[in-house]
Amino acid sequence: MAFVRVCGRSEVAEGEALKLEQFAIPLALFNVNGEFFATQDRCTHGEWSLSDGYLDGDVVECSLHMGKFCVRTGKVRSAPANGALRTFAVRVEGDEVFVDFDAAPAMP
Amino acid sequence: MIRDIAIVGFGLAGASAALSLRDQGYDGRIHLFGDEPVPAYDRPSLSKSVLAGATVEAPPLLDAAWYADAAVEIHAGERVQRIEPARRRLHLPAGTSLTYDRLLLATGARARTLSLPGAELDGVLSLRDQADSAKLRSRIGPGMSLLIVGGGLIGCEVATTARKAGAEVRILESADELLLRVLGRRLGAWCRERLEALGVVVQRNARITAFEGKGGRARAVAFADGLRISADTVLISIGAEPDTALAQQAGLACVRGVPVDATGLSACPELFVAGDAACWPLREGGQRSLETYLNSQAQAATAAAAMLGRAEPSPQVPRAWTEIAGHRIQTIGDFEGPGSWLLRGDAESGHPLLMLRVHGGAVAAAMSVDATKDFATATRLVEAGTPVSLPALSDPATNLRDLLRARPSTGTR
Ligand SMILES: Cc1cc2nc3c(=O)[nH]c(=O)nc-3n(C[C@H](O)[C@H](O)[C@H](O)COP(=O)(O)OP(=O)(O)OC[C@H]3O[C@@H](n4cnc5c(N)ncnc54)[C@H](O)[C@@H]3O)c2cc1C
Ligand code: FES
Repeated sequence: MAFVRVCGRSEVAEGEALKLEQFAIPLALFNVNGEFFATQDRCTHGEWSLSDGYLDGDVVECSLHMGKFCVRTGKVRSAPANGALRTFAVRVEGDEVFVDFDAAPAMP
Repeated sequence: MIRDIAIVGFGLAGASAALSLRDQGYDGRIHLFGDEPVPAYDRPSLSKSVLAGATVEAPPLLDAAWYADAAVEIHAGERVQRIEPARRRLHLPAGTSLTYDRLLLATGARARTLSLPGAELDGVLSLRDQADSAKLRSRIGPGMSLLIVGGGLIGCEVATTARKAGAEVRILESADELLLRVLGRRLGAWCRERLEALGVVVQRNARITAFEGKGGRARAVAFADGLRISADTVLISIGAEPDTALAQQAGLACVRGVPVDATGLSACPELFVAGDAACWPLREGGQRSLETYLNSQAQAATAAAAMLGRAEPSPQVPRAWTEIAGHRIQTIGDFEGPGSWLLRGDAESGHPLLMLRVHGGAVAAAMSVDATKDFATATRLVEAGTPVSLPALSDPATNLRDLLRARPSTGTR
């Protein structure tokens, strides 16, 4: 387990997403009512950034063709999305957000 | 008790309906018939990434494993010959038949043909399915020339892809501007300029009279004024015709689509229609076949629920996206209609740009060029009928999402 600091907590407002490009796998970090989730930023349907998408609860709608994914699990919620997203474990400590690039989040 | 649901047409609407049926807990049989050799795939890619050769085959709509896990009985490569709604029966080529409790027609549309001399020549193509796309792809490399008849969405998408692949491309459009019907004059002209900048030749007000060939192969297109232009390949992209053959044979009156109510129910009980084949009611009044991805998907989900007795009428707001000359264009609502248009974004360069048609204190339609994020919010303003004020919408400092949050939908418009 190697958590890496990715950003400050206040950098992502509730209901919004932040694109983190400085890593080998560009990430989208979502703030779902104060809970943070990290997925790969690239949509599995095309060359598009999911952090540009519309977050509604824990579902992000890709802004290009409106495919939908659950940001908690990475699962497809609506076509044309047709492959699950990689998801990563997130830990919030104080004002800092950390992501473990090696680990998927623990499933409830 | 509904135990047998048959779906004819294994494209987007057919597969989406099967998915919805299972999502809603239906555990009876689903018989899914499609005359293409493969399960439903991403048809919009056929003029974009698949034509560009980025992927050899169009991405499947659903994982192959899903159909097996969900116990959907798929019959790819089987064309349904005839339906008998009165007896709730459908007929297959081998002389076999199937009795159903509910039937969904999701037969889509076919590329419209042009009845001109020479239209049957080798090299005169259309684009609707994977086989068409593969044939076209083999003819759009460097040093090859492509004449596109019809400057609508598919024509302009193919022009973009073929030009990027190195082909010489010319679009012949009979109207005085490209994309007029779908995007209107302002955006149509803007897209034409972008295509021209890519090196596509655009000929407007074109009157073609024949295709000419040699040894059965297309060689040229002849015009009403006597001119001719040589071409190895001609793509006819003048729109699509909803495939209503089965419904018509069964005696249903059809007008560009099978008329249905806002749940997908046709004039025959137990017979539902969704997708391009359906002439579906619109929220703004009237009804028509919409021929778009998102509307087909939404109609399939609505019809699936209605087949299970959970009818929730869903009059449609047209929604489409396209990619032309490297720009992402998205629309919701009809371009033509009452109200006034206002622009947000970079009106001078033309992108990113969000155009909104405001009518009766709400956003009735929106079009976006490379303004994807704002467009996502605009679609919600349109769908919810959120009350908006012109000054707030026109102010570049206004965050559209705040409008959505601040003014919860009243449901009335
Ligand atoms: C090249 C191209 C690009 C497109 N790009 C876009 C885009 O960018 N954005 C957008 O919003 N929309 C786009 N569309 C439109 C979109 O693909 C359609 O709206 C959508 O596919 C309609 O879904 P459908 O299931 O109703 O029909 P289809 O996807 O056409 O599926 C119908 C299926 O039924 C089969 N069938 C017909 N009759 C029978 C029978 N008797 N027995 C068995 N099977 C039968 C057909 O062969 C076909 O496989 C595009 C379409 C094309 C052709
Ligand atoms: S790129 Fe995300 S849905 Fe198409």
